[in-house]
Amino acid sequence: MNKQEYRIGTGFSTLLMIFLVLCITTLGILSLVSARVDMKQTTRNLEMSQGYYEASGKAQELLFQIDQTLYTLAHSATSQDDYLAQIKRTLTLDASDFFIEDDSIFFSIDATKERYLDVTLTLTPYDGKGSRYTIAAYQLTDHQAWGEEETFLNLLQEDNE
Amino acid sequence: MRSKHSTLLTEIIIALLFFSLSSIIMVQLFAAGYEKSLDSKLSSQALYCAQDWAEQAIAAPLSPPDFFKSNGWVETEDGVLSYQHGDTLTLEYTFQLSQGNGGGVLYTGSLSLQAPRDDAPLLTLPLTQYRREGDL
Repeated sequence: MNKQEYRIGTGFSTLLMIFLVLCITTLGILSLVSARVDMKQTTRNLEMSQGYYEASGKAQELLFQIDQTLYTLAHSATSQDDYLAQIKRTLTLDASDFFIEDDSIFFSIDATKERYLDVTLTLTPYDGKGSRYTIAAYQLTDHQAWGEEETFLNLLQEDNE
Repeated sequence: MRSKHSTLLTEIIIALLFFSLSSIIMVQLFAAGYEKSLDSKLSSQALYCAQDWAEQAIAAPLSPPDFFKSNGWVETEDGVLSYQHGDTLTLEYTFQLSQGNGGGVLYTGSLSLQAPRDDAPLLTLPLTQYRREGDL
């Protein structure tokens, strides 16, 4: 009975080596790319959080400034109408957006990445005592239009002109 | 026959040499990926930790320094509040006060996180709070 022999032929080790090197290279590159994407995401998350807290800090400073102004005006005003008129005349804020409407003060602060911290205050009736305003809104809003970053196929002829 | 064996041996030796050289490069590639992954994990952990403390301080009925002091933070000689989070992270809260004429107080400060192996802080989170007279 003939015994069949298995021998490693010339070129087999080279082929095996090429296969192994390719496999390890692919896995290594995938691992590095995955780690880089993860890091990028973490950095973005970090920047967005820091942007929010910076905006919130700025909002708190403006609240302090508003409260100081309201305190001074509440003691010098003679009536509710005079109080509101003086607020409209004297209050100025360093914010992205700021306006006074009836008994509400609105201001907006840039929180980076197209986001803004919108704050709305409701003024309490003038009497020189107690809290001078209540915070009606304190929210982070995205001012970027939906899908603005995406690119679309321009299928309508009118848009091409 | 002898020549065939010698060729095969030479091929195997060259293949092994090339494979070991490639392996060295690949190990460095894996190590770089792993280190990046660790950095990312540490940054995420630092952010969650800082956010957690910041949000608790904002929501608390106390001023931020009083809140931190009542939760185990230690005040150093230079007035900075410090807290050891686990074995890896050290939190620090630096602040200054501005007293308003209406009785309110503005606490301007920042929370920073320090990892033991780095000189620069991992992250610094601004934490400024205005407390009106009735808030405290």
